[in-house]
Amino acid sequence: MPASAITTTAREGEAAGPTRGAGPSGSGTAAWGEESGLELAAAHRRGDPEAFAEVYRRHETTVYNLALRMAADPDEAADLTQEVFLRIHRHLGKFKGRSTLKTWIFRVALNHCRSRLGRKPRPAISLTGAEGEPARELPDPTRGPEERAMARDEGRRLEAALAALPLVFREAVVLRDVQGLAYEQIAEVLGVRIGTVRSRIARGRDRLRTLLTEDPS
Amino acid sequence: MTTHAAHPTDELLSAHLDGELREREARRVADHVAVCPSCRADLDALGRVARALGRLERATPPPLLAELVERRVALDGRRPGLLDRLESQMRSGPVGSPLVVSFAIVLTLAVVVYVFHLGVATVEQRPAPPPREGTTFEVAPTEAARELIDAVGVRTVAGRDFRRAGNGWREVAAGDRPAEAASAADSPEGRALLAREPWLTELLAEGGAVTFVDGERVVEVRPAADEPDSRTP
Repeated sequence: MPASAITTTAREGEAAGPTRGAGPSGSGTAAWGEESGLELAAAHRRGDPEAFAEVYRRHETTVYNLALRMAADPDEAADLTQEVFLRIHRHLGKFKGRSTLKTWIFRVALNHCRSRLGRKPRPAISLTGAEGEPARELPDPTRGPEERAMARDEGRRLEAALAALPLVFREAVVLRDVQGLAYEQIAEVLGVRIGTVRSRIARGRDRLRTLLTEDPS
Repeated sequence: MTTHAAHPTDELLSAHLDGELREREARRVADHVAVCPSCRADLDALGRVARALGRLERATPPPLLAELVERRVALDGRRPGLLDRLESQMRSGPVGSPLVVSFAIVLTLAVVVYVFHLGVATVEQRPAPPPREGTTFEVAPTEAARELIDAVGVRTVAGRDFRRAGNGWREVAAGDRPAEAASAADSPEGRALLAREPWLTELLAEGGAVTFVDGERVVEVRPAADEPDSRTP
């Protein structure tokens, strides 16, 4: 199992050059193209620490945000992210390219989140406004100043509602609406049929709408 | 919203929102929504939820996260887990290695069970220790030992419990009954008692009289005349 060089490599968001030898660590190793999951896996198998560093660089923020939306707790999300990348490091060499690397990483991350979070009871989170106002119809910020004012606490309330969703609906909704995956990709990540994905997303959204519009009093 | 023919289900509306319906189905839903204010409201509501989720701020990972991951990966690299090692062996081993590994696991379990039973048998076969006649203080009669005995209050010799009585000892079983007979250790009666109850020597060596139950009687044995007896100045 190769060591990693993630702290000496460019952070996510920085351009990954299409040519080799562009790594900030100055190691003269690879910079991979976007569709290079198999190459990264092969390099990882060969013991090239830059391969895992590249995977980390590309997916750190995505995995952290997925964990954050699943756990609804920044500290727990950081722990989950560490554990997910530990798993990725252990198993990257076995990646066979049957899906994209991104899908594979989502699958690793979600499986881990499920095993960790599935054992924990869902937190009781208040959906009331910051000043204790009851939740109302989800505002549309494009409508006008009043709606925009109502939308100030939208993110906070939405996060709370998301955390209150059952895990199967939460992961489907997060993959679709937060991470922007297509139904087919979600089906691959979750290992279910597209019809199931469609149902879970619809039910998750519907429950969110209910949670956000019901009066907690 | 009951049937597709009447109103599209939430599932269809939601999939329509995501552009995940086939063309014909999508057109049917769109036609219905165009003329049905109720379904249009539902579609709008679902759309607002979806858009709001999409607007959730993308959080920046904590600055030290990369370093923590790197540390854990480095640590993990030094100590691969048992399952990983087994898996690795299964993958890198000869043809049929899963069978070999399975056999190794079964063999290991068998050895563990055998060793466990062997251990149990050894313990069972070990000769039992000789029966103890009673709990006895095995301490020398030093000052510290005396203090300890005094603190505990009861001293057990040859299975008999004794309490302090002046400078000597009185058997607890004797209670407050007065001694019906008394003799010196060097008298014929005393020597006979000592021959019959050799544990008396240990107590008499401390210099005081020993009162104990001898059959039906309570008797007292005093140290030999040349041994000090604090009770008889």
